[in-house]
Amino acid sequence: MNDSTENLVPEAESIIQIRRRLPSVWLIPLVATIIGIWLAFNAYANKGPTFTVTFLNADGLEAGHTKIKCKDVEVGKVKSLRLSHDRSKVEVTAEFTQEASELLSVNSRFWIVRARLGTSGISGLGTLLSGAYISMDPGEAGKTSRHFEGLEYPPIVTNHAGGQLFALRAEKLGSMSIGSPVYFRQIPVGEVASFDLNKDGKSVSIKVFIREPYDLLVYKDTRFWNVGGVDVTLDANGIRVSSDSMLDLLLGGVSFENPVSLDAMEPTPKEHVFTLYSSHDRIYEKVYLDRYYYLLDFNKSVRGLTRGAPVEFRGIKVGQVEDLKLELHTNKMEVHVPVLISIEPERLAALDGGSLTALDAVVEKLVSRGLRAQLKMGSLITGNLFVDLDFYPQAPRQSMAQHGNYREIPTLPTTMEALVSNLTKFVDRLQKLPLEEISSELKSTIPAMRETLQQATTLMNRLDRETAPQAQATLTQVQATLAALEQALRSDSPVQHDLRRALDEFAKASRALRDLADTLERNPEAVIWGKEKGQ
Amino acid sequence: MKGAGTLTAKQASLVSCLACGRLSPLIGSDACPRCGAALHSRKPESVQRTWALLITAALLYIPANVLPVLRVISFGKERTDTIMEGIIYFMQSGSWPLALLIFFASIVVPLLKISILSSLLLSLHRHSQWSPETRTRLYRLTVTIGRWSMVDIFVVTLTVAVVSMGAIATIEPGPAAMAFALVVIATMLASHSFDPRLLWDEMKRELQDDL
Repeated sequence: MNDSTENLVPEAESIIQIRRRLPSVWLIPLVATIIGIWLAFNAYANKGPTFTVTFLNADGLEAGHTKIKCKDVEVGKVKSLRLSHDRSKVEVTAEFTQEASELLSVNSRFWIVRARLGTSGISGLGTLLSGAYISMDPGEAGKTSRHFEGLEYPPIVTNHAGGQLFALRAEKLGSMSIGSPVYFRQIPVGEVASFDLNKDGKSVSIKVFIREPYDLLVYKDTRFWNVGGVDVTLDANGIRVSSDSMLDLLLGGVSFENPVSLDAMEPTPKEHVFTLYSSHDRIYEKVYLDRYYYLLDFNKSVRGLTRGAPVEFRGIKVGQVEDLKLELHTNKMEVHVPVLISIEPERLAALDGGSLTALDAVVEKLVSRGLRAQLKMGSLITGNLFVDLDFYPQAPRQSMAQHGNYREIPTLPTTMEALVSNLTKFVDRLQKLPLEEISSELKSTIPAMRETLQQATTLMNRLDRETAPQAQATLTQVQATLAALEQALRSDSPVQHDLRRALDEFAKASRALRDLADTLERNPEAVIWGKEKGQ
Repeated sequence: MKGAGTLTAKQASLVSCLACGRLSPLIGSDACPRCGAALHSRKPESVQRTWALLITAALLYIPANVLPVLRVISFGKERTDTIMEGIIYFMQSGSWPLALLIFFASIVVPLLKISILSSLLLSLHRHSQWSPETRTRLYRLTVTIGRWSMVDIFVVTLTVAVVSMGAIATIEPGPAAMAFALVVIATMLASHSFDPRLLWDEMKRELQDDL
């Protein structure tokens, strides 16, 4: 036991030593604690705020699993999904990382990335396998918000894409859709970002996004036109069919070019709205935005007049027919055909510093000087009519009447109408002739005429009966005479022979006479002295 | 008090080699003369070490259950599950035995080990006299079942190695797998560093006090 008691002392010392110095093994839980605290702090620090995003439906979204990505970098996760109070939407509560939540502002946009078959191709094919995720575009910095409205379609233009948006105005959308390409010299340089009907419903506004550096090619005078569809033109030059590539035929698209011009290229002003022309041919046609509407009342058939028919002033188009309809005034039982026309004052060049902006006053003056509208035949084959405006100083004075919202320009009858009315007048005059008297007179004349004819017949009969036999006898005698004459003139007839001999004699006599004349010419003395011998 | 009356090696001024079991005199022998292993009458700093490792295990047990243990990427769709979510998933899909197995190996075993060891340590601190046999049996239980909680880690590593089919299905270990492995290692080291003889020393001391 001595050994053991001796041993007890160093053992006790050693225990004290152990208690004094903390064994190194405690480093392990210390390190674990530090790492744990650090992890916990990190997790807490990275636990970003939660936001809500509403979508029309939550197709493919999964609480706790669906991710929110910005440029394919995970920035958050969907925490929960629930229906909104009115059950029309889905509210997605999502938790963002700290740095991502700092990017969020009222301009941030969210959309669900799913597999989509769009005009510009197939997108989001990867989500077929991975499931949908929510994509986010932080947008420009602005006020912060905790509630966002999700987009149904992915936006074309994201915040970091270099380029510019341009506004276009078109009459109709054509075959375009979001994502349709924008071309410059057939190089795709951008896309159609959005389109919307204007508030008045009369035109479509389209936003196109043009990427850097092509956005610098857009100037104030740049012309945009729609390349979708086929343009078939039938005119004096024949038929022309023009279309861009087959793809654009189906997908539609916008193209632009800069006109060659003497003016310097001006940069695009802010908020400038370009006109989207329906085809390349039309880009140099002027487009008139100012329109004044007037009413015409033809009170006659307007067959052949259609909407869009031109309104011409001395052969130059100044507007077009906008609408026409048949109106029955039930109290007076009168039928009217009001025709609404539009006149574009920009088509008229105002000289002498005058302004056409107040066209109504100008038209008022012109009407007082005899401006009248008239329907004229545009084409004999189709029978299309157009409205012709011109001065008719001799027309009766009329002023402009107000009909509802529109003022009325007085009209003149159609040229055809005038022709018809002239014909009517002629027929009237014909009707006024005393046809009755003429016919009764004619009736009384007819018996007398009959008598005359009978007398003529009697005379003819007598002539036939008495004169004809005598005439026949005379003819027989004439025939006999002619036969005798023929007998006498035959070559072997005595008359002939005698005649020949007489002619011979006559020839001899004339020869003798010539000889005598010759002799006398040479020897005139022979008259006295007689013919010399030997001669 | 079955062993109360027996003489311990320590009391006989002997020390048993922990490696080969040879008895050596306590004084003057630092290493086992037979196998050369360091000789200690009791495992050095046993209580402290066990406490430290137990606390580590308990700390690691939190991330092991909170963080996802598996990341299953099937058809590009990622799904992460914590241990408990996995158990619930198996339960809901009808695989009761599998759910029970995972529950036992991943939740029950580590918790049991930590609680048994800490209660043993507390009993040492309190100089508890309560049935050292039972406590020793409990200690042996922790040593025996301890290795079975590694089953989870084996499952994770095996599935990760086997299910690697690119886009169709890929399984990756989550951060909790590492934490869980560390929990298991820490608890095994803790049970290893615990010296059950200390349970009996208390009884000896009492005897000595009585003497």
